[in-house]
Amino acid sequence: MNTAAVQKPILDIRDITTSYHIRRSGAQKATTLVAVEDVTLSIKPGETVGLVGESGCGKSTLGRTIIRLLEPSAGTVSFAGQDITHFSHQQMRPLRQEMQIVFQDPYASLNPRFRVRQILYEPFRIHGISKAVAGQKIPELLSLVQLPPDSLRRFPHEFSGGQRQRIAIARALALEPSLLVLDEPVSALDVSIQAQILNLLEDLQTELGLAYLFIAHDLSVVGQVSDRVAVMYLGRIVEEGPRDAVFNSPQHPYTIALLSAIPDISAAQGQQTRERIILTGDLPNPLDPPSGCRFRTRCRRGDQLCVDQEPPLAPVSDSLVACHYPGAEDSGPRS
Amino acid sequence: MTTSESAPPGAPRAEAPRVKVRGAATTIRFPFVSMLVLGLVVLVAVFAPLIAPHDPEVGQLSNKLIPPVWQEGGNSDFLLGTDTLGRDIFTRILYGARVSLMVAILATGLAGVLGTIVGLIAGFYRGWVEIVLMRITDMTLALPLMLMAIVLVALLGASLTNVLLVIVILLWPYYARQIRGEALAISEEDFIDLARVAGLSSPRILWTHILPNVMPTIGVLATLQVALIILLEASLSFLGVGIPPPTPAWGLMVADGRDLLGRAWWVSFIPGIAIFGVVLAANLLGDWVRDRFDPKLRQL
Repeated sequence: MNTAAVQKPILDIRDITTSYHIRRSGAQKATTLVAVEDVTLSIKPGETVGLVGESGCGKSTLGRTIIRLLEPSAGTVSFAGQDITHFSHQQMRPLRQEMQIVFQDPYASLNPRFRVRQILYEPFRIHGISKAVAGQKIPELLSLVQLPPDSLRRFPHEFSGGQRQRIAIARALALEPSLLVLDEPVSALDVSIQAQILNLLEDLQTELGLAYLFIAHDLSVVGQVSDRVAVMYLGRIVEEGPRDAVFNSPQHPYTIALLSAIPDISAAQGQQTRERIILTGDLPNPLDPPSGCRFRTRCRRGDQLCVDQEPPLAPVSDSLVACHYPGAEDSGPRS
Repeated sequence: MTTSESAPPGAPRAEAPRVKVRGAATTIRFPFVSMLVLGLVVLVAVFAPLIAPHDPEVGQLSNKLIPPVWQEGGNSDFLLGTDTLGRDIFTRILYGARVSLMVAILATGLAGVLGTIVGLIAGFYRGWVEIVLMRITDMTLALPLMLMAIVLVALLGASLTNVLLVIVILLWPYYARQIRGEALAISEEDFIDLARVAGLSSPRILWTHILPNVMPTIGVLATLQVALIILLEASLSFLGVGIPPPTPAWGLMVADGRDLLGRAWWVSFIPGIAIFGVVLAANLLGDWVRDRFDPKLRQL
């Protein structure tokens, strides 16, 4: 908590709620799906915050809200101390240089009719940077992401998935942003390519001082790159803290279950290892979330209190945890 | 394509493309004959005044109903014979190609532009804009063409402009529907979101990202519709609600001779052959363009 006061956050989101209005067939009125609820998170310059959770928990929605692709229904997004929640397209324009996003699917991220040169030139053109300057920077970008210079006159379909993701990263870096939202940037790639891209991202961070919001469902990947980790479940952050605290002494039962699912090499060698917890059931329907604690339907610790009251995100040792019975061991009552 | 792998490794490579795939178009051969016919029609249309031996609109009654040159009573001055007013049918066929081509090009262009704009806006902006535009499209498709044409001509008089108007009204909804669907799909792609994140405004996204991606579809639709338009124009002219006489339109020429089929078959038959040949060639070319460039087939 102390270190947060030392350096001002580049990104600060407070109590963000993002919902979708969906009309189900047959239903008269549109229902509201709350994908992200009351999320508060901040990222300091040069820091990597990992955001994990299973599919459908709202992590991508949060990423898109931060980058202002989606309108939050409540809460504020502040960038470099400036409240940008209700900025218009015109007001956002200068800020677009500062915050960029990389998506999961490198096949959908690049316009198939554009050559790589056009793809990389577009951000410069939009922001009125002269062709001469751009012409100088574009080859630099290519070498930054370790692609051959002759890539420029080729089309996206001539590249592999990993190469395309490099192009997407190069484009995101074109205007030297200070924050990069990485929405599952390696999930679609082979493990060997994953490692290359992760190393590349790490190198770029030390070189350019970028802040990353690293969204993933793979805890081992997040553990590899993050300074801090936030765990999301059904639209809410259930645990947030420094990477080592979250990984070594997880407090929320959901985090404990997630961590126990990481394959462990010591188990294969017959050594003593942590207990493997297998969650039962599916993610509850987000249209109709459970009362009280959202995790209670799959939790081993739940009792009446969890049904009645939603646990607030409160400090427990080094982390913030949203649980009535936090603790590394199973300390609470069992149902 | 998958079966080509089953060839033994030692087999000569030249035989590989001969493999037939069930259910797929086996050969996409360039339609040379079609291109030849259409090329000839274009040349003829462009150079009609240089080639034509007579005036297309004025004839001499003393020359009326001369049969084609190969028939008894034929005259080498009038290769394909003359009509009831003594006008040279060969000359009128040449000039008729101009009318057909002009209508085809203008109508394709206008319907394409109108339909593409409507489709792009409907597919990209969604919401009530889409609902309104697509209802208008559906309503247009429900209009009875021939009735519309007759009403329009009754109101405004027969003219080239009205023929164009009727054809464009009839055909733009097909573009609008197809382009809307594609624009819808492309709008969902990540690179559109990335363009937005880069700071591009919606109209510019539509212009620089979505339009280039629907161009192949527009091209395919346009080629497929050329034949339809030529046929439509001929039908309208035949019914007397198209190109007004004495302009030499093929449909009009067929109509001119319909009472004479027993006595002077060539008056109707020769322009009929011209329509048939051009429409067939345009259709074959359209099929080829669709097979070759349809983005959905190409992705396979």
